[in-house]
Amino acid sequence: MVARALQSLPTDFRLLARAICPDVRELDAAGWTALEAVAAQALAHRPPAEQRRFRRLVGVARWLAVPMTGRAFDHLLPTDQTAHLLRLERSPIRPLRHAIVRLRSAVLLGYYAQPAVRTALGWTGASDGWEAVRPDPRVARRTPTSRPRLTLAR
Amino acid sequence: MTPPPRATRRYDVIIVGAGTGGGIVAEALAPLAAAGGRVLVLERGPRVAPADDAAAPDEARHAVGGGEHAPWITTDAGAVSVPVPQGYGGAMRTYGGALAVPPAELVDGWGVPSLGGHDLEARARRQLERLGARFLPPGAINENNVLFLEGAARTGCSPEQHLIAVEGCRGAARCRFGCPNHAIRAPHAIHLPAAEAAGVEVVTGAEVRRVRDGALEVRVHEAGAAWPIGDHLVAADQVVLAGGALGSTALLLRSGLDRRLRAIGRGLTMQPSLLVLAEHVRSIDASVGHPTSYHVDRSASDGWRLEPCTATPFEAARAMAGFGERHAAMLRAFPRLQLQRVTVRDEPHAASRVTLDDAGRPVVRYALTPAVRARLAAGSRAAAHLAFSAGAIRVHVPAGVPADLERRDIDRLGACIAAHHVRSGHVPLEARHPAGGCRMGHDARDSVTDADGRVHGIPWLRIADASLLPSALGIPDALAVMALADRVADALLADIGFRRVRAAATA
Repeated sequence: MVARALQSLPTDFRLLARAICPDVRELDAAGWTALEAVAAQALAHRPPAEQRRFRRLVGVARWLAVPMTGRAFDHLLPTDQTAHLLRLERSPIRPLRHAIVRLRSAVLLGYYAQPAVRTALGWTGASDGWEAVRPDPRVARRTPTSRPRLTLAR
Repeated sequence: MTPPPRATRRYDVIIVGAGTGGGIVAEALAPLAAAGGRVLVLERGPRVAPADDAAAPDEARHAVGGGEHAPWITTDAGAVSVPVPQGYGGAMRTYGGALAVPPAELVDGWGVPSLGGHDLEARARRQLERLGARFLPPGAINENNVLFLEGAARTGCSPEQHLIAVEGCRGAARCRFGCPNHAIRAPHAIHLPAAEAAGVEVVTGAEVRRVRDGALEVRVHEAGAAWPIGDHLVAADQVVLAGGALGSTALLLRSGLDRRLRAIGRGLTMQPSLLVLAEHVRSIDASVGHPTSYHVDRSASDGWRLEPCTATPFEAARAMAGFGERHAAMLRAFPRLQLQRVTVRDEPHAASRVTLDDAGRPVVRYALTPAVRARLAAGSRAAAHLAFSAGAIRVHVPAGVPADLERRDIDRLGACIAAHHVRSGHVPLEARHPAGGCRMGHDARDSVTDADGRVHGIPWLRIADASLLPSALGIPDALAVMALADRVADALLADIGFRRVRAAATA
């Protein structure tokens, strides 16, 4: 059920993922598997009728590349694929816009929520917070230079 | 047709929801339980084990949901993502501990008969004391907050320090996923354990489907829950709903009570918010330290407030406008990003309300009014100005055209960030404090409950959560909800003739 959410899309999911988040190019096979699993889970979470509508709209987005750019979506340069999807994300047609936003959320979640990606980007998130980044308590932190008003927050 | 099950359990009081309001009411009823009264709390979500908070956060599960219910829903037009907190402790289990006292004059302005602003303020201050809220010392302030202070000073804003209810905070900055060091002082750590110790029963994984004539239809869906999986009918002399603005409202709608009380579902407010990301040349690391130590509050005068905040790379990516190379480039600068949240006050609007879908789940209709758009734009301009003044070289404003602004744009922020740029569904917005839907008021013609949370015309039913609020406070509303729940509990105990004994303050 979850795997079908990507397989039944009318175009290669990886093509769409690269257009939305260029950095997915850096992923290895395990990274792609993790991305696809999370994205599929995000897309499969909705009721079946909504999923069918989403698949149809991704098909429409792909088809619209021909009248809007003069070339089939799959044959566009990656930057032009991004530009095409960005135009549709700002479309006045609400269902089409929603479909692109859902696709975007699924790809961003599948990529940026991966622990290895988070760490590579510099998100520490260590349980021991300060101690993890400044093990020596004698190293002073930069403290506020001016004292703000202390109130009971209204 | 299957006949409805017969009530298999009976209680003196049932509280629906183990969140902020439910936790306060449960603790207030602890002496009743200790004296032999039967008090039950039913919670739809799970009881999170401490070990789960200590593990690295599973963001995919957090964003998509791993259980029975989605942790987020979006409004009908896709304009705003709305959190649906659930589980033992509710929303405050995953908040940063920042608290604000509801101003008495604002409460008085609601015009709810016999609801005194000073009474609510006094109750809120008692809760502050109970939670041990205090100001963090200067050495515990992180770089993102220091930058915020510096920028605010240079732009003439007046930052104020937040009162924070934490004990033993090590600066993990993972409050949104549940503190790995259990530092957050809130109902899950204080009020609910005290209630359980006195004999209040808490059943998690149990969703209340309907209320009818002093009985609740309950569906238990959690394996290993205290009750067997399946449908139960539970009777009570008194029922207190504390499922939040969406949960309590949806429950009353599912129960068909809107036929008697037309105000159910109406008057919804969100306090919509967005993130502003600013790139600096040096490292900031907003992912260490307490995330929100200060704020600039222009809510009363201009309708917006600014706070430093933290975000994971995914949260930052989702909060930004667009996608593609520029989007990815901003995130590559993650350790050098200054993060601010802009939150705005919104007023109840006829088109903003809770309804139900065919399956009885809440659907949120929300009107992004011209006033709210203007406040989002004004708050975004202030955040961008503050960031540039603090030394940012580039600022990403989701409501900006273009969204990525350079230092040279500082003199034309008014043209780049305008109310008409804030278009429904085009700017990623998040509801900070959903409220309303079962507002307090005079009578059944204009409201759902009286000032003590008693549902008009239904003597056994009360409400004790954010759904009671007649309008958005413009500040974090946790203390206001705690104060209201405290008041509802007092009235309940008085109505059943039980004298209340208050718990002592901690810390």
